[in-house]
Amino acid sequence: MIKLEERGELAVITVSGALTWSEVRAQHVAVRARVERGGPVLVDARGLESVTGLGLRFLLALHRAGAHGGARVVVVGLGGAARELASLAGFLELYTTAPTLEEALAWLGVSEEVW
Amino acid sequence: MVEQTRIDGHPTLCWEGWQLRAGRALPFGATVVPGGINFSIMSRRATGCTLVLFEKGAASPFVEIPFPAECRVGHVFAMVVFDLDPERIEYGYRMEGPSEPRRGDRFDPEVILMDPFARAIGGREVWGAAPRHAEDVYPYRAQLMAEDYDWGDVRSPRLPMEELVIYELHVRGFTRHPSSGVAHPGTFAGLREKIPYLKELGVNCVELMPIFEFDELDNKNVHPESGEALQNYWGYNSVGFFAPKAGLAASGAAGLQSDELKAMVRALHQAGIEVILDVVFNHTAEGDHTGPTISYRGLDNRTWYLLDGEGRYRNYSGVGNTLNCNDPTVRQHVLDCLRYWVSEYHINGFRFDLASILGRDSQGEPLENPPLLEAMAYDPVLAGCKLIAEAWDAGGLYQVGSFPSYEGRWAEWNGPYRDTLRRFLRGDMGQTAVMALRLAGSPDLYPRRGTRASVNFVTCHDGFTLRDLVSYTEKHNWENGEQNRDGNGSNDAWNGGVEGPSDDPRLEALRQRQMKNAVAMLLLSQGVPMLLMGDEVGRTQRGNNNAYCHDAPWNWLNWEDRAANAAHFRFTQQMIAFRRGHAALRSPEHLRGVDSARSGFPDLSWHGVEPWKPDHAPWSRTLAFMLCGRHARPQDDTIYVAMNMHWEPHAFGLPHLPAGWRWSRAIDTALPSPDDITDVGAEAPLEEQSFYRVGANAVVVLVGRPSA
Repeated sequence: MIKLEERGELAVITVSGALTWSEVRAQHVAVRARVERGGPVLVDARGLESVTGLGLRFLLALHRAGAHGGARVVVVGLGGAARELASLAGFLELYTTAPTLEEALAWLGVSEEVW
Repeated sequence: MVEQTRIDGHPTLCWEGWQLRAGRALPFGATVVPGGINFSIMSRRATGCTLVLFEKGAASPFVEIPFPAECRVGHVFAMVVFDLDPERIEYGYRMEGPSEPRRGDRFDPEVILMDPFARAIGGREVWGAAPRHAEDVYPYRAQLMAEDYDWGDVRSPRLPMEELVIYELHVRGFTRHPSSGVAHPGTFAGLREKIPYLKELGVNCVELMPIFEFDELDNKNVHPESGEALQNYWGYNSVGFFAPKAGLAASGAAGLQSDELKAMVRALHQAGIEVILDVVFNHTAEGDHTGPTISYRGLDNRTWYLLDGEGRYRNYSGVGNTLNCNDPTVRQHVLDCLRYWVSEYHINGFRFDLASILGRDSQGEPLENPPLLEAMAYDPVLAGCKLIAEAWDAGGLYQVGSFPSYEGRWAEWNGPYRDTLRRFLRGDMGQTAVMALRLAGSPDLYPRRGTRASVNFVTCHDGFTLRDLVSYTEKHNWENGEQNRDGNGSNDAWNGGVEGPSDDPRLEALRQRQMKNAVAMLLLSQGVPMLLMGDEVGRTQRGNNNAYCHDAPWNWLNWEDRAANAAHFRFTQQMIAFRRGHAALRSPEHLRGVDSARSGFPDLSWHGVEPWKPDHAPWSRTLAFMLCGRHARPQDDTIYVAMNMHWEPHAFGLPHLPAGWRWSRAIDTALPSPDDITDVGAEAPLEEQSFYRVGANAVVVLVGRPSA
């Protein structure tokens, strides 16, 4: 599942459960448009259970869209099989990731209070 | 992801509830388009076609959709099916048409056929694992693959051919051994982890044995002692030409083999290492008439294969069938495939297995100007990539030196180089004159093509390893299950007096020296050197010279061999460094033995035990040459090489250097490590400047430069 919400200046994109092509197809246009508007973007993957190749691409596309629009994008909590696949595909070196929410917010320069 | 803004993103046809639209003929294969997937497949003789769709891994299809008449363009069936999840489906085709084997037609709509353009193939995702369904109606399944890899800022090294030091390796064998210590043994990811090793060794190009999808379980032979099934470990039996082998990827079961392979290529490029693929376009895994129908046979047998007048398969590959490479359709398919690997995977070149088949016409006759080879040579997408031919086939065609080159675009595996070097190395008589030609880049074979045409090698996957070349005189292929009949019986190998392992220290010293001699000769030769995986650490195959069928620890690279053979590894590493440090060894053009630089010396001169007197008598086993570095670009030291393959030492008189110059010893294979080779630039001048005593079975290299 993909959910987009605003917390002050921070855009939070929560990906959870299974991140697949059908989920991405339904959400990517709106999410991408938000990221391209700029500002700090936190992708919360702590609830992500499984991911497909197109799901991994979605995360990478957010980074590229962010770079295009001047947004700072960080993925937090990418773990387990999803992290392993991202590593095998060579994507991990292209994402900015943080192990904890606190570190992600710090990297974005956003106060923990917005959370 | 395709934006839903195009005006052709809506269905115009309906079949039993499925929304369809007439598709696009190009590109062939399955492509994600607005709202659906475009399926395009060609067949010159099929009268009808049905698309068969499976949920990934399901035993039975969930729908079969006949192509409506509106969905046919020429010989192409093309249709868009809407609302399919590209990550969840597998697809195939049933083809209708005549079944008249004696005329060459073998259509059978009972069989589900794989798309020859499939970018990914399911069914063998995990190496060696039993097929998902014992009697699968569709064992090799076409899948879709995302093709939007992010290469970042990484660019291909784009090395000139003459700068390459090629390392031929088997992706699985390279890291499958537990001693490799990688997280994902035997995979693209495992190879990626070992890039620092390749950098340390100094090679700048890897040539990967087949990585197109193949079935490692398609070998019918069994081990004669254990009775266990043997494998098709090497993989020279392609199922599809566009799909990387999923079983070579740690992520293959998750369908990310393409990304994992690209990550490996990207990392290799980042490290300055190019990637060449060993490709097998001469035949397919369908074999002869007794083999399985996987794809091509059922799509249009007469188009894809060379057949005789009775519809029987012509067999120039030695494995049952021969691809009809110069048929316009097949030719275009091969070109599409190569362009795909270059543009999608950033591959730097190809080595074509049994490449002479690519120059045969539809009757099997060799063509003077084969359209496929010419098209490859001048193709704009392939323009920057290396094309290397194994310039022979199993039908008796042998074209080393005469393979069509098209203004030097094609290089060749130089088989005569291997044979001559081996004979000279073991001290055969009558070899010095021809060995001189091989050291010079084989100007007799490539008089107008330069040294870049010659890929030099002593060993390759096919035959003995270097360690076995000096340890066995005969092949020992009993474990292959063919009563030792398989494999080449002519290896020009010499065991030194004892067949196989020996605890005689003098024999072991000779074998170590012979391995060093071979590596030195290879890296001192003009042309493009190629090393075989593991030769730098003395890898043995226990005398098996055709280990294609063994997925076993003894056939994998044992990383503990490095410590056990540290001296040989160091020697190989330093030899590569020596070659890379001396431009005189990497001339792109043949040296002519003339002094065009007015240096006082010819660019290349030949010598014997007496300077300026090469000895090519039949009984001679000594050979020396000198490269004047002032002819090189950039200018280099003068290099003198003395080779003594006699069993007795010989004193070699040294050519006089200009006043104020001195000879320094860089290499002497008769000396123990680390004195056998010195770091480039750290060589100390010799006390004796008029001669050098070269030990029995030894190679010596001196560098001449102004004394400090």
